[in-house]
This record gives sequence, structure tokens and C-alpha cells, in this order.
Amino acid sequence: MLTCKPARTVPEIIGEIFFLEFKEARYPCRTIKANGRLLYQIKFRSSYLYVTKTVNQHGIFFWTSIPQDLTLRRLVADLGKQIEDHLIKTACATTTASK
Amino acid sequence: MCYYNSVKVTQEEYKQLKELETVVAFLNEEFAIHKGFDYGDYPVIRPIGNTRDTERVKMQWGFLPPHLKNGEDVKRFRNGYKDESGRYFKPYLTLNATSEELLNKMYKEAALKRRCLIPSIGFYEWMHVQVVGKSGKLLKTAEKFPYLVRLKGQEEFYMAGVWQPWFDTESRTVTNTFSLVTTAANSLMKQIHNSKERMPTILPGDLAEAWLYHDLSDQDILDIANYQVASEEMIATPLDKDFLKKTNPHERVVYKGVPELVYGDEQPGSHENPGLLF
Repeated sequence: MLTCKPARTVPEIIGEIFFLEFKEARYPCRTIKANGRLLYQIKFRSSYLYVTKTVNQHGIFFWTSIPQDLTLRRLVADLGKQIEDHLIKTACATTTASK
Repeated sequence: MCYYNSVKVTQEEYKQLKELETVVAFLNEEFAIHKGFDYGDYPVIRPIGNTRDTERVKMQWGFLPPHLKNGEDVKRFRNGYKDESGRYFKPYLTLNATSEELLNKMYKEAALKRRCLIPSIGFYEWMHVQVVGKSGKLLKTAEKFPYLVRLKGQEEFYMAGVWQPWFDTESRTVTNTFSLVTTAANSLMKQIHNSKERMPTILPGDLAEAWLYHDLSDQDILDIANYQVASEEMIATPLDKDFLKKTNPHERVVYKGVPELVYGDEQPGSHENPGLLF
């Protein structure tokens, strides 16, 4: 048999799609579990932005895009806050940076 | 300490974030829908040299023969053109290579020496349905209904392909290009791709292995290229006409008046007015 598919963790899609707002437009967001962490995939027309919550050396949480893109810092922070609000509202849960 | 987004994070956190980049690259590939006429890059599997190992490399979908010298030649080749005397030269569509012609034309050398596999989770095809206009007559243009076709119980499958390195004499760069091999449609695909009655040559494991590694005779190549996966092994989902713009492009829709698909050897025909949309 062929052994051409490289070994990798298959990411798992979790829950339903929800929507985030930015500049009066709505963008679908989907939750993906990968490597024991939660990634959020936001669809902007034909491309995707991935964000996750991380923590700095002082233990302060912040949101980052994956891969990193400094120009999106404010947008990512805004979207991250909306994701947290959504989770608190729908699941009475919040996000953490660790596993 | 390491930096991510210019913020200091722990080494362990940095490692995890870098690993997520690999996941994102994978997801971008998984969620991508590749449209042939974009002539974009697509992941293709080919053997590494003469070994039994394989590699996934990106190649441009749309086979380019070596006699094309530069970008202008490619444009003419793909779009057609008129020469100075006004004579029109038709475009060559090399996204697909028909199995029957694989050893006759420009694909021969590639079919003998450079075969590859194209991994896919599904492909899209459009059913053409004749529409009755207000006057009660059939309109000239058929209405098109997209379907996603997958293999039952198989997350990923392999389609036969042939590839060709193309050298641009102006930029002095090499672009690897490929064509997807097609075969005659099985009974299910005849109903869906009813305008051309073709489908990709989808290979089961043993044939995929032979296609990639074996020293095949001309007849072997044609036999494999003509292989038809059975319609019972396929599953087709009708999609929204604008599925590419949808949040969930693979959401099943129901169209009134579009003939129901028949799986297996049974041919459509028991329906009243098959292929006719009211």
C-alpha cells in the first residue's frame, strides 16, 4: 500500500459555525481543535484567518494570529474578544491558552 | 524566552505556536477548493527518484508541453490566438488528459516516465438540465447543478496524473505542471456529468502503487488509465449553485425537478422526463 500521506494530527472541527463582526460585515468562524489547543478559523471571503489565545511570559493572556502577522494585531485582539464573548454567551465558558 | 508577535512567550508556548503554523498550513490545503481554470498550484504525489518513497509537491494544474518557450507562448496555448494572417488557433485544454489519448499525443513521454497521483477528498461536477422556458419550449442553454462526489468511507483518494517540468526560457525557471487523467464515466457519473460523460481516473491502492512505481507497458498504462471506480463506491451530494461563496460549501441542497441519482448498474430512465427541469 502507499505510504504517502504524512503522519500528522488531524484537526477536529468542534461545534457550530458562529459569526464575528468587523466593519459592519459578518464573518463565519469555526472552532478547530489541533495539538490539544483551540484554533479559531475566520473566513474572510476566499481566505482564512486563524487565531488562538496565548500567554506571555508574565502570564497575561492575549490573542494572536497563526502564523504571526503584526499588522493584524488590533483586528485579532478585537476578534478574540468577540470569540470570548460568544463563548461566554453560548456555552458559559471561556478560553484558556493552555491545553 | 522566545518572541511571538514581538511578545515574549515561554519556549514551550513558542514551540506550540510554531506547531500550530504547520496545522494551519494543512488546514489551508484541506479547506481549499482548487478551480482548474485558475491554473493554480495543487499538491501532487510523486516518487522520489527511483525509490519507493514519495513526496507531496505543489505543481501547477495544466500540463505545459516543453515546446512552449515563454509566458506568451503559454498564454496563446491556453487561450487560443489569431496569427498575422487572421488564422485562429484553438486553445489547448490540458487540465485533463483523456485516458484513451494518453499515449498518442503530447502526454506520451510523461505517461511513460512521469506519472503521479493527485490526492483529493472530493471533486465537483455539474449536471446539465434542460430548462423549459415560459413559451413551453426547451431553452438553448441548460441549467447547471453542482455536485460534490466523494468515495464512500474514504477520507482521501488518489487520481491518476501525469506531470511535465516546463522551462521558461525568459525567466529561466522551471515550473512543474500536471494533467489529471480522465476515463469514461460510470453509471453514476453519466447522470451527473451528463454533458461529457467523463470522470477522473480514481485508483484503488494496488493500482495507485503500480501507477506510481511500476515499469508499465503501454497496454498496462492504458488499462490503469481507463480504470473506472464503481458508482456504488461513490457518494454524490447536490450543492448550492453558489457553493463556492457559502460558509459551508458542502451543505446538501434539494432541487425540485432535478432527476434523482441512481447508484449501481441501474441506468436512469425510470424517471419521467429525465434531465428535464420544470
